Amino acid sequence: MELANLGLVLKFAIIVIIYLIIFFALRIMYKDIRNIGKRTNRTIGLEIIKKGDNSILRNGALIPITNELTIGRNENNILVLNDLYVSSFHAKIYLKNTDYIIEDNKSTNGTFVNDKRILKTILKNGDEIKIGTALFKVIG
Amino acid sequence: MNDIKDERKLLVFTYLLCIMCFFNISIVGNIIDRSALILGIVMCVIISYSYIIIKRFFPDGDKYILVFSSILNIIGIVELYRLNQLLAIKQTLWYTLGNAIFIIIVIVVSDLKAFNRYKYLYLILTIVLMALGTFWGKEIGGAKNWIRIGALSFQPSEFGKITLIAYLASALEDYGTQKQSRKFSIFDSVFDKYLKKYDIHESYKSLIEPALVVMVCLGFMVLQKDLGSALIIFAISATMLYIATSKFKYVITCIILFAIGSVISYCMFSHVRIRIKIWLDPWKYAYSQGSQIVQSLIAIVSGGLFGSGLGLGKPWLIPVVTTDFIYAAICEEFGILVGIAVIILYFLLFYRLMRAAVSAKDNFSRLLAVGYSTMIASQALVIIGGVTGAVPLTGITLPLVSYGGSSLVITYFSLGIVQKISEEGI
Amino acid sequence: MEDISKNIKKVMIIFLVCFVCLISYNIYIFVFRGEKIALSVYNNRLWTDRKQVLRGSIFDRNMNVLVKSKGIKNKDQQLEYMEGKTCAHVLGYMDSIYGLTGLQKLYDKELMGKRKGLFGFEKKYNNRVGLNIQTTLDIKLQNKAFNLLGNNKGAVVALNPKTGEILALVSKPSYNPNNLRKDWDKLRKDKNFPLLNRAVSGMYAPGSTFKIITTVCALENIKGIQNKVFDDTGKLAFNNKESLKNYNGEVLGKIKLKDAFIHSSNVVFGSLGVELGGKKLDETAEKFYFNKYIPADGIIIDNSRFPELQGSNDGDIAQSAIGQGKILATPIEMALVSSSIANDGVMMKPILVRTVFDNNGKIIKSMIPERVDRATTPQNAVIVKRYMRDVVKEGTGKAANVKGIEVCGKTGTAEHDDIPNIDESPHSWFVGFAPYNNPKIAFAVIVEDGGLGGGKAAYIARELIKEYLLK
Repeated sequence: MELANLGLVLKFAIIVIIYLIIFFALRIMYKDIRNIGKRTNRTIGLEIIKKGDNSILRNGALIPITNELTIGRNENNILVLNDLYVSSFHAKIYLKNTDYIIEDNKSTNGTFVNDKRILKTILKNGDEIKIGTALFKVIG
Repeated sequence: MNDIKDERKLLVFTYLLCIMCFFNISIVGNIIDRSALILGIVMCVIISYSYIIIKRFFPDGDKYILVFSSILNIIGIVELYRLNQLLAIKQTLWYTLGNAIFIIIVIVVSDLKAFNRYKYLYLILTIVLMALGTFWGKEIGGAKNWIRIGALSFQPSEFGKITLIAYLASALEDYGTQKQSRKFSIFDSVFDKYLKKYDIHESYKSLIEPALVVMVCLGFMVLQKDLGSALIIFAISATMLYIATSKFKYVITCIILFAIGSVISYCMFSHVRIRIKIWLDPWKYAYSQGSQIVQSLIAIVSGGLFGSGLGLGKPWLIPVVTTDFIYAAICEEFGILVGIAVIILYFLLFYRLMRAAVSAKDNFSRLLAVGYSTMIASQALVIIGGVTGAVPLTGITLPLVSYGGSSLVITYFSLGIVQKISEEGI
Repeated sequence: MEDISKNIKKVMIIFLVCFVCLISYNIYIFVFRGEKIALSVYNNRLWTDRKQVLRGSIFDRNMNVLVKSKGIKNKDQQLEYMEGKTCAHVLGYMDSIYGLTGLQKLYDKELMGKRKGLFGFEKKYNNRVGLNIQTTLDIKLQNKAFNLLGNNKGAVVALNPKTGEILALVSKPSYNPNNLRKDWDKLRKDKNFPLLNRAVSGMYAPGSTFKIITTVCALENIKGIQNKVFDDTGKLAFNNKESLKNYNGEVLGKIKLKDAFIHSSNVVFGSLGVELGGKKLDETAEKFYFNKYIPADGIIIDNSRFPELQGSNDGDIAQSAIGQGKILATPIEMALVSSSIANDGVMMKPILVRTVFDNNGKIIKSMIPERVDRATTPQNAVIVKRYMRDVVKEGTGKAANVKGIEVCGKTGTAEHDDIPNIDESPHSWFVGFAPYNNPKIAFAVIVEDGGLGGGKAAYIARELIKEYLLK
């Protein structure tokens, strides 16, 4: 009769687990729905700490980013840097879910976040981005 | 970052569920059934494998699609094992294949939106697949849409749904925009003269071709007596149309046309009349054609809230229990609470799939995601509704849970595509 | 494609509604139709339970065993009916092919040992034995009634007017439930329908027994009707062609209501019917639960029918007033009419089960007598009681008289034409109760094609009363 009792216990345990799964899944769904609202309003800014060799920039200016910012020497970019160490299409900052990502576009001299060379990483408030001779800080 | 904790929890629970279910089945007899335990472990391994690949290499995508679909699969395989061990093992093989397809799609497909170029390929494939059943099909269980090749039989109309969605996505993606010119529609030249004469709005033009294709497919489905698929195709088309055009009145037109079509087919085809007759009062025909629904209802109710327990019920009394009526067997053995939980799980899966559509960046992907989500969700609704007597019974399978190689492969294919879309999106 | 998220949200909400509807439908089926579905005849799951649980036995009121299980052999269980054909209909059968009927069906749960309903939590181990039932039947009376019907077709219903307890419920022709499988085909094809329980489902024209209700209707609606003098010329004409006659064309002359009742004057009651009108007759009939579902325990009673007489001509109304025309009544309905009169106008709920008890003798459920409704006032009941006494003392029911007991009743000779072009003998009815003071038994007897009510039916009633009250 041991086995029969065990079967009974398992029966209930299975039901409990399934509903726990549903509970957590619903919680995730709820949080997600809340976030969708948040996401559409998310804007960050790039503060110019050091303009370096770029003549167009001014120290202390704030570049707002909504959704996407392309950086490079080519004038088709949103943020044009005429520094010699900057490639034509150097990097891109874009929004994914609730985070902003900075992605290096196979540039010659690289993109540095907090003095570390990166290929693709999530940007956090206060991060320092170095492209060529310019230095920016993330304000969000 | 709480998200990761929630993910982990869900994954852990999934493993726990898998182990407990198979353990429960193994102790049903007097001795411990080791093959059940082995099957459980195999399932856990497959789940982990897929999950790890997705997590490590494609972390941007949706992680819950795999979890929810695995849970549904677990419940399905456990119940199948209880009903017929051989089928359960076969189903596990299909499950593995399905997972493999899922992963292959996610890995191999690099630029989904490039696929919108093959609109006419999809069109031809769709028509061919849907027609295959009508002309060469064998009738099994009241629907003439099975093709047998050697030892395997499959339903071409199921594959046809996939290509239909791809076709509709590519046909509708440019609705309302100026990009019409890029796709050369053969109807353009023919209809241009007439449309100019009657001064019909530009955007209708682009809808005529898809509308005709859908109607042709529906026609084939009705001829093949596969009314469930007809209903699903209608649901998919109406939804995709609405998402594409945002015009509710098109949906109303669709519904009206569909209603007219149903009435016509009701008058023309006796098999439609029989289905409706049985649905209205299955108890009157309880010994003949209504016996499926009657036995299904009895099973669902006999389980009580908590079920009779795995292996302790009598689900073999339900006809066609391994495919269409598996929901009744689950309600009997697991209880009606789990039956309701299964419905909720389908909704959660549908939610995750639609979410991928929201985040998609181009229209083609968006429509694809919507199409595949609707396909899975409406299939679940129609068959569970049919099995409980809420809507007339149709011969479609419960995605992921019913036994069925083609069904599993197609569902995982769709899930794979949506997973890819969720990854590309924001 | 503007505002995609909004569109998608709308689609999701639509699907959410669909899913919620599906869930609610499931819950609705489970909660509201669940038990009925699970008990349905097509449910084979219960059969394993039925066969594996030692089915409870059924006893009569004096603890004589009526049916018991022969034990569980080879995962099957057969029942032994001790009294054979006598109690076949009321006890019912339990067969995995042919289903359940009678008490076996209505108390299936208890006989299977389920105490807390179909879905309650039963401890697995003490469920191997079903519960037993003590009925209200008196097997001696039941056997006597069965034998008295002899080779005739018909029914006998006897109950206690004060408590509603059913003392006898007999239907003939009957069958032997011990040989159900062997005889099934023959029984099914038999044109006399031996499987039909005539006592609760047989529909007959009540004939003059209905005059009890017409009398009550007159007493309630026409002041001073007791003193009115009618002129019974033997014939009541409605127009040139149609008329109503007394039996044998008897002319009763100038009589009052009491004599009309005692001698069963069609003329007087026919004219009373016309005077009262179809609507009032209908109202009184429904007070006696014609056209209504009669609640009962242990049996299911088909509804007796009183026709809609709106717009009918006088002839039809008169026919209804004397229990002919389109009226159809079950024998138990007429027994309840009689018992209501015996019980000062109150109809009691017919009950077949006294107690439900387990193998240790512990009583699980005990049935208490219950009122159905008040059919008429005590004053009117007393008047009709008196009339019914006189029917037996000096009227058409003399054959029912028993020395030393004041028997009360009403005869009925119901014309019927079931087979066209063939002259059929009318049905012989006798309903009544005994004794006049403090009635202990109320009954209805019908002998199909038995002729005069005062003949065969009255005779059977007399013997029944002797059996019940004198022994």
